[in-house]
Amino acid sequence: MLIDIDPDSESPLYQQLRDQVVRGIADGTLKPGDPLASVRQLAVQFGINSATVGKGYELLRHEGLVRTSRRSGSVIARGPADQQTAGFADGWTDRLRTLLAEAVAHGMPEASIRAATDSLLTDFATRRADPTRSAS
Amino acid sequence: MTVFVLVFALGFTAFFGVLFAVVVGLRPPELPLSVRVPQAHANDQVVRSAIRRFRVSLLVMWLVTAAVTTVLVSVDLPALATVIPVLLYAGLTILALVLSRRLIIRAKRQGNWFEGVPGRVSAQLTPPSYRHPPFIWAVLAAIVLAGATAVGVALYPTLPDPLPIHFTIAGVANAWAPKSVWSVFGLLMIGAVVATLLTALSVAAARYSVRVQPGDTAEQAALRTQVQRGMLTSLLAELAFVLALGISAIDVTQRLAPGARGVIAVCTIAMVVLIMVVVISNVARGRVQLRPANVRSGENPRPDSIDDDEHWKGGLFYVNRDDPALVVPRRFGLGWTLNFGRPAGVVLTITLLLVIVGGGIVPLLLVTHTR
Repeated sequence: MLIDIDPDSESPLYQQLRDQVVRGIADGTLKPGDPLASVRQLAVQFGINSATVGKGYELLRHEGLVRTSRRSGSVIARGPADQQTAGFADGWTDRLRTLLAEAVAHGMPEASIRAATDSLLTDFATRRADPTRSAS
Repeated sequence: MTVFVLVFALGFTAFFGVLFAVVVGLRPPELPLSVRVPQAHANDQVVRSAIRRFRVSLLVMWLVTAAVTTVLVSVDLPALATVIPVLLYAGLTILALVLSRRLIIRAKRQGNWFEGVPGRVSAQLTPPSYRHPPFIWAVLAAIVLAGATAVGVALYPTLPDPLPIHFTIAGVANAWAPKSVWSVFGLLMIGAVVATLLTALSVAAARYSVRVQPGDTAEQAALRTQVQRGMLTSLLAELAFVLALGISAIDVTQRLAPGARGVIAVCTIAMVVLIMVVVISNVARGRVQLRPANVRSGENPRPDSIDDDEHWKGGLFYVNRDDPALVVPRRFGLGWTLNFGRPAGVVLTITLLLVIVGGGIVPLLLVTHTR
């Protein structure tokens, strides 16, 4: 899987890295047990500081999405089919509240919000079912 | 002697000309002549004519070099004629590259090709699996070196003391050394060290990280990594064997027929020709294998790279203080280059230059001195 980061974006590089790994897990591009490049390899490929990549990996470990062991390096720790992470919903509902509030505040109709959510969820599911569509 | 010098110089420079012409074809579409261009302009007329111009100038520069070599040989300066054409041609090809890529750079600036193009830096999160280098070459190198050592051991009691170590062209000994393990097996030891170094480099090449080219899909990026790693690993592994073979052959003929006329020259020429064949064949094969990675379908276009030309001086030298990497994949050609934006890169380069200059000048002085 390729990760594309935007050096000019306001979102920090480690956050961009973390977000794309989460998306990769959701759409099935990354499966439980998939080995990830080491922090150093990734930093060298991007041409950025190792600490930045390390911070992204640390976030993912903290969330339980990535597991690092001395023997096998970093691997994807879980997938959509696994049991829901305990205590996950609390923080997520909070962030979702902010996201929905943004849409409502900007006058997005409720139907459009629901339609957008549905289409994104369907997209994840179809990509998971058909791996050839998850190439990018 | 003069014919030999002429053939050597012209053959050597022709080899580099062909190598460069092939290497230009290895490039991803977005890096013509080591200039970063957006995908939308990768196939512009100016890009194609600049590449054509570079290839034509490779030939023109070679003809210039050939003329200079002929003059040097005809005024009876054969020692200079072995070194100067190679340096001259190296300088001229760099000049050709700089002049040809300037066409693209100018068009890119005037047309503001990167204006409004969102730039991304990409990397492979899931790297292609490691494939170990072909160890058969290391095994074969060890076998020939062991064979040559066995010949040396068997003949050791019968070797004269002092041992003749250098002969004139006519086959008369003109330099001697006391017979010892070092004077008898020194050449083979050098061969073993060089073969081991090359094998170690080929193992390192099997792991090296290739930067993702903009426009590559995940599959194409994986293919690019596999092909570039494969090209370098097999090239280095095969070179280890060729060097071991050449050195063993020279050593065995020295033992069996000391000073035999022309044998060393024949062995050396055969070794140089084999090295050229190994380099060209690996690069040409890599170019064929890379073809699918350089196809752009146009559907689901990938984001463009940021314009990083400012970090590549002359398209050849990488200077970037903000990049933590000391060794980065070359932008033009094959293998790695150092990041001169880091102090360690500068120190390493100076050391390497000293080794190369020392390794080139000392033998030359010895040859001219003993003639």
